[in-house]
Amino acid sequence: MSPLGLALTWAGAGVLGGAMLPRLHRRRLAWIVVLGAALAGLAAAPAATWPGPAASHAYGASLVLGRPALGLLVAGGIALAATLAIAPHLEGAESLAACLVVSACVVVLGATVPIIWGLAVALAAAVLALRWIAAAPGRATLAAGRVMGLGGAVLVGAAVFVPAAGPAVDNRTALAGGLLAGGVCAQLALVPLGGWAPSVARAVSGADLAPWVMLLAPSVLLTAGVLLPALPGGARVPLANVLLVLGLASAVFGAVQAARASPAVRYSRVVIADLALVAAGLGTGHTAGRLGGLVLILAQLCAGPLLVHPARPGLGRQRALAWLSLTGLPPTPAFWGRFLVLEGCAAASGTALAAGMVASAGLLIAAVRALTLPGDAAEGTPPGRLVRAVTWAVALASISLGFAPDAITTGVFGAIM
Amino acid sequence: MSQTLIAAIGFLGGMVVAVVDGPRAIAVASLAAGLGLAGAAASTGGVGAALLPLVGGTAAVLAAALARRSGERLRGVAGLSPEVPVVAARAALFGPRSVRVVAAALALPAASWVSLNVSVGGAASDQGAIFAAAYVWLAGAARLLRARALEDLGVGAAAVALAGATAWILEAGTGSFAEASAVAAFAAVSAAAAGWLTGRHRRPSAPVEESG
Repeated sequence: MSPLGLALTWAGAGVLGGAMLPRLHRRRLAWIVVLGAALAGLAAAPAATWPGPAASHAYGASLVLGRPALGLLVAGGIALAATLAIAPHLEGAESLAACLVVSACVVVLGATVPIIWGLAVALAAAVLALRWIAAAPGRATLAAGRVMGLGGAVLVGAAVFVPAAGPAVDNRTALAGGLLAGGVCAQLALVPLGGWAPSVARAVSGADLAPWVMLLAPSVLLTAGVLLPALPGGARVPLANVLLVLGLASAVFGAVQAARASPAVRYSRVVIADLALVAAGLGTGHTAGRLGGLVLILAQLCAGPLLVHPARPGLGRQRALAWLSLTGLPPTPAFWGRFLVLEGCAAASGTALAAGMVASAGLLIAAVRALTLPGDAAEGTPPGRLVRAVTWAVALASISLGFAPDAITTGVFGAIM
Repeated sequence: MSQTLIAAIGFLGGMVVAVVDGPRAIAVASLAAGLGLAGAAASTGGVGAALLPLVGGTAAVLAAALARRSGERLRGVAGLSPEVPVVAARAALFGPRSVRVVAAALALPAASWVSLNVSVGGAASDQGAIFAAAYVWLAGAARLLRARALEDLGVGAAAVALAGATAWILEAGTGSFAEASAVAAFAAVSAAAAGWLTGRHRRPSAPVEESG
């Protein structure tokens, strides 16, 4: 299957799951449609080399998916399906928005020219903003629409300056690096552009937040990781430095907030901080930092489907296992991910290492608080057998990742970039 | 065509993007941006390139009208209106349009700086064309930044898409129509989404039977 075919498959799944199933009063089955679209990714053959949105003069509108991109699409799609299966309530439009976002993410990951990459990010951001504003009109979702929309616009603008950016820091190269950094930070909710993310997480349901956490943000991170080495020094250095500094600042801020947060918003704070750590790992420019980012993304894909929803009766043990996987204590997956990111930070500078350790400590406190002081009143009816089976599968997957992080990460993303 | 004239036309297009409001704002803004950028695109690729923003703007007008009619005919729940502000505006001395006009005025020196100091593609001497694309992009970005309703987000997205497509032609030349067309099509997608929501919201409700 070609990348374009995969994108169309996801869009078709969205129409089927979001528009047809509610009319048939079968909206709870949307997860099966999403799972089918995710597994369709296995039919796509990965390209031998993944150019990404390379900064080159060789313009072309073809889409090329490398092994890391396909791995993210399949793993993220399965996580999205599990999220929809576990969701306590579905309106029906969640799966439409989620599938359209994944469809745009296929283009984000497959783009070979920067303008198509920027356009696809803007499209995914627009779909998410529209869904969030429709689901919960308010200042938080409007702010998300403004910041993510502007971030997408900035990436489209940056794309014009990227191809001929040079090694020396002239006006054009500085503009390319600055705009790329601003656009990526807006999409990843890094400080000072990240105020929208915790507010949106409070306002919308877990099923609505999941496409950003599981597909859009990881897609932007993965493609930024491919774009960085292809950029000339004049544009690469500002982008890498911004990712490192703002990523660490966001991780520290997010971790402190997570440690203090109420149970209802604790997980969203943790995932925002972890995504910021992934950005910082990319910014270090070291292989360990990039590898740690991939492990952290996988850890969040495993734990997210359970924790992105509020607590429900009968799911306490599964949620406890998922929180355990995010503590950062060995041999949990979060430990390996954060350890490798810290290794990358140590190679960059001592200050970066110190900031990374503060962030990791805050995230540990947040997870330990979630385990020892749940305080999250389980509401609603206990789930059925099928949902319980899915939650056990999610919980066990999140724990087992910690016992074979190298094999599983390589199995999903292929040989490390 | 004179570069000064191209810049002036682009400025007018950008001003319309910044100030237009109302039920057909996205269509009007797309058409104005397309007309304002046609000269800039023509300076690099001739008539063929000029057609790209023009067709992009016209397609947005048609897409908005068609989607609006479809929204009026489809059955379903009446949803969000793109014209209604998502949150109530705070009392302030200057209204949202005044703020956008100020932003459009500030965009003038910014776009001038870009056109004078940043070379784009082979059009290093076409400063008017670069100014036009930069100004419309900045007007769209200001619209996104100060958005109060979905309509503002749609206007901003359409303007940024058409400006981005034109700038890509300036950068990559006439061999880049495929990518530029994909970017320009985002204006039509944005207009269609807003038109569909408007039509769905304005659909006449079913008559209520009076009892007694």
